Amino acid sequence: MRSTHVLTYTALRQTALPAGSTIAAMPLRLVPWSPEYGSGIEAETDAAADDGASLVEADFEGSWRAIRPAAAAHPAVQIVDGVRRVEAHAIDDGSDGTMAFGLFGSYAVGVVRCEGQRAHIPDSERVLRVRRRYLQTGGEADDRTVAVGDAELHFRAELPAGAQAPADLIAALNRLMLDEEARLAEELSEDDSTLTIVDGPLRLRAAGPRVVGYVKRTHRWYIGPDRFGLLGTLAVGERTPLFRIAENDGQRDRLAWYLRLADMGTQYHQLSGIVRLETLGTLPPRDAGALADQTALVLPRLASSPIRDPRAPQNLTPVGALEQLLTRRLGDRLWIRRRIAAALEPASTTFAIAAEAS
Amino acid sequence: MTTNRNADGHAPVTSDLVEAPGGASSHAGLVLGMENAAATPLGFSVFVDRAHYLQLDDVVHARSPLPPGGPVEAVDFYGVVDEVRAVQEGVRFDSDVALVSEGLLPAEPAVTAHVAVTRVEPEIFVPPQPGRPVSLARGEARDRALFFDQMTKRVPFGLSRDGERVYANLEFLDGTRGAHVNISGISGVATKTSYAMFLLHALFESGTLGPEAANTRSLIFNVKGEDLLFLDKPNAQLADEDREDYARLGLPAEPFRSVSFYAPARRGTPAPETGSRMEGVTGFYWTLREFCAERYLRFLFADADDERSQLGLVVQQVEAQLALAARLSLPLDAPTVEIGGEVITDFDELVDAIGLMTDPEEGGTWAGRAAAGTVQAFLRRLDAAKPYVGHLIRGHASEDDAAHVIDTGRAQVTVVDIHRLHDRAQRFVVGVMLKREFERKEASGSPRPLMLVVLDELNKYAPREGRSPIKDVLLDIAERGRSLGVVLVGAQQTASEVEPRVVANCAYRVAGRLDAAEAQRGEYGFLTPAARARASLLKPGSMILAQPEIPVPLLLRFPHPAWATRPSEVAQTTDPFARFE
Repeated sequence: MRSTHVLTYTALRQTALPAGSTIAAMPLRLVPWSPEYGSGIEAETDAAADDGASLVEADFEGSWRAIRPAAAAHPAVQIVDGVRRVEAHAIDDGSDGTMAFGLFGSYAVGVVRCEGQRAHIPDSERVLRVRRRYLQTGGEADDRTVAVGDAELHFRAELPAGAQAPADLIAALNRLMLDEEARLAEELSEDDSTLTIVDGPLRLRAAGPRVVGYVKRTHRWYIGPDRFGLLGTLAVGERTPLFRIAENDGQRDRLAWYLRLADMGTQYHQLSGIVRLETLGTLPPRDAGALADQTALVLPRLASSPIRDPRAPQNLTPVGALEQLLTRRLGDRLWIRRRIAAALEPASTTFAIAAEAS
Repeated sequence: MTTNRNADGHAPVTSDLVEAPGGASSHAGLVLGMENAAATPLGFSVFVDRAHYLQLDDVVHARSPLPPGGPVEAVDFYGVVDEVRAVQEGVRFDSDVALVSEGLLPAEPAVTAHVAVTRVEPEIFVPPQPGRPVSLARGEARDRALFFDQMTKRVPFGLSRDGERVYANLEFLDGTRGAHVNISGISGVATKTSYAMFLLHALFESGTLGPEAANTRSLIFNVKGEDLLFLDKPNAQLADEDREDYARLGLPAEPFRSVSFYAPARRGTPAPETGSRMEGVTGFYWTLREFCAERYLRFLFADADDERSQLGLVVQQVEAQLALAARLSLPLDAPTVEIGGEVITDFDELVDAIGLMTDPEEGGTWAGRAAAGTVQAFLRRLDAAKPYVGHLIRGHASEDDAAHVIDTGRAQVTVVDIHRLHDRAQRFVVGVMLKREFERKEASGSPRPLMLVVLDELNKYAPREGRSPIKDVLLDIAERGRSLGVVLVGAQQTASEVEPRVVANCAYRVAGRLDAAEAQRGEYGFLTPAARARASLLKPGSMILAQPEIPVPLLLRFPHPAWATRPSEVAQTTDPFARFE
């Protein structure tokens, strides 16, 4: 695999550099994300497509080449994103002696709109949603109400199907957040005057015609080595042609494209500034291509700089601000944790708060 | 989504907008409770509502509840905005502001105001609760905030920037609880004299003094230009907005009703030496007899500031001899005195006679055992005074000497023009007048009606360093004037150069435009840091007033003089009723 990679890289250099350039080969490059967020690129080039999804076709827009959309007015964009947080882990010793894991979690979902010269975060309960959940792996789960000053936090109880370990509960919390993001994006995408961008691979079912999924972290490339070479040569604002991704179950058929958001400089790997975007597979390819062109026009402007975001350039500037605001709306973490502990105190024989929230 | 709110979000917090008791108020923001902007009983910050604004000097009110069950339900906080700041929330780097302007980064401006608390009612010194609504105080609430409700006798001292009256308590001016005003500021832009005159106008016309106003007197020295020589003439160039300001203040936009003007008598004649104004000005001088009997000699040595010198002793001894000579000279109503058997008829002769009687080399004995050098120094200085003050001290009787005595009883305002006099003569006139008025008041035994003395250039007459006879009189006025009904309205460019005891006795401190370095001096400790910074920006017509009952200095403005301050402003009309239009 490694050799494939290096070969690809060498091929890229030959196409990217003007003839006669004599820059020494420097196969080692950094990936720009701050390490605590993992690597933004977690996949090598696809050697085989046997893990549930595959590239079905890629010839909607003529030959496989870089596409730079014609300059046009930037459309209004709304970007949906969410944050989640585990407030506390817990263990419930049921009356029958069986032990169940519990989790107090909060998540918040919102949208940031960029139109013209103004970026803003609509602040109404309809579009800025803060949710609290108490998740448990089994047994009987009760809603938990925690008094905090003049307000009350209401943790609604849920028993996620199939959850057995604390890690499952965290995954369930994440899923709840993603579902909420999807619901919000579906509602907001009814407004088809605005380009709606939602975090992660597209999971919507009843979305409007102008919704795009924005994949920051690449787990799979979906395109074979013959097409992969183009990615590194994309200039900022250029995209690949459309290609189709189909899950094996036939559900969630998407049309996707790659786009270069930013040129990170020679110390970083060429794939660093690349994101994948997806739209509904049911969309006519021509409409999907128009959407792709719009993203290529709009998104490079929004790419974040490494000095302000540890996941630059993929974590878009307005999204970083949205995440900050959502996190603030979740409340102070340490303080909520103490209030939860205080709320449980009279019934301390029933609940024990685990030492550390993840 | 309201249903979700109770299920998932915060329960709604009750926010009842509490009106200030008895006053109209409008919502302005919420009390802040940040770590770096914590609310305290003496000051708190306000998150300013986006639909409103607060500016410096706004008067605000907040009510904060106390835990139930106590005797007091809530505490009212009143205060004045002394700082306003705006930040962009949601930005981390300086360059983010560009991203926000380009529409790439969402951020909202957030404005906070800091409130200096002036009053806590009842006096329970708890901090206001963060989150409590803050409103602009108007009407009675504003009066409470600035203690105007407790001032039974109040005088308008100016207008706040929103056009409301700023009052001062008469009791801190008339000696009941305090007295004296001190005004600091750069010449030319600080409008110190204009403000002092405005204060007199307000005092005479506001009605606060009642019938006593007619008998209240003031003495003003015109030290530069002829600014004060037209106090009785309407200002033809007074703008309409100034008239409105006078109306807001409840004062007539009219010149002073009752003014008498004095200027030094011209050499050889009793006629006044003035420039552009001739009519209604009386020439003033003193008779030789008065000079000797009242011991005015010391004021010719008003700049003798060396405490170690024996000069003062010689002056005292000579004064005593002159007083004795005056008592023995006959007839008693003659303006002249007799020294050593000779009738002295003018100042030069007096100087010569003093020389003969004092100089030990000439057989003089008046100096006692003072060293010869000291006596020589005394005579040298006395001789040097001749050309400057000779014409102010006269022995040749004019037809009516009494008419040329400065009589502060003749009118409400007595203006003594000394701007054309030499520095030594100026000191002499000021010293003699202050001493005379103070002694007159002292002898009358009644502090009322008041005598107000307006004196600019206090740094010259009561300097921080050294001693002088004028400084002694001023110190006397500052320290005892309160009980004698003598009120000093003093002004100077730099309070740091004035005798601290004179300034410290002033109940009211006023600062106009200050030099930035001067504003940092300890003498301006009555200014808050914000007020200090503003003092170097003040425009003419704006002052910062610190008064005893209000813990924060207030910025105020006052209208242009309704009286002329130069010949060109004198209304060119012969209509005697013009001033009543």
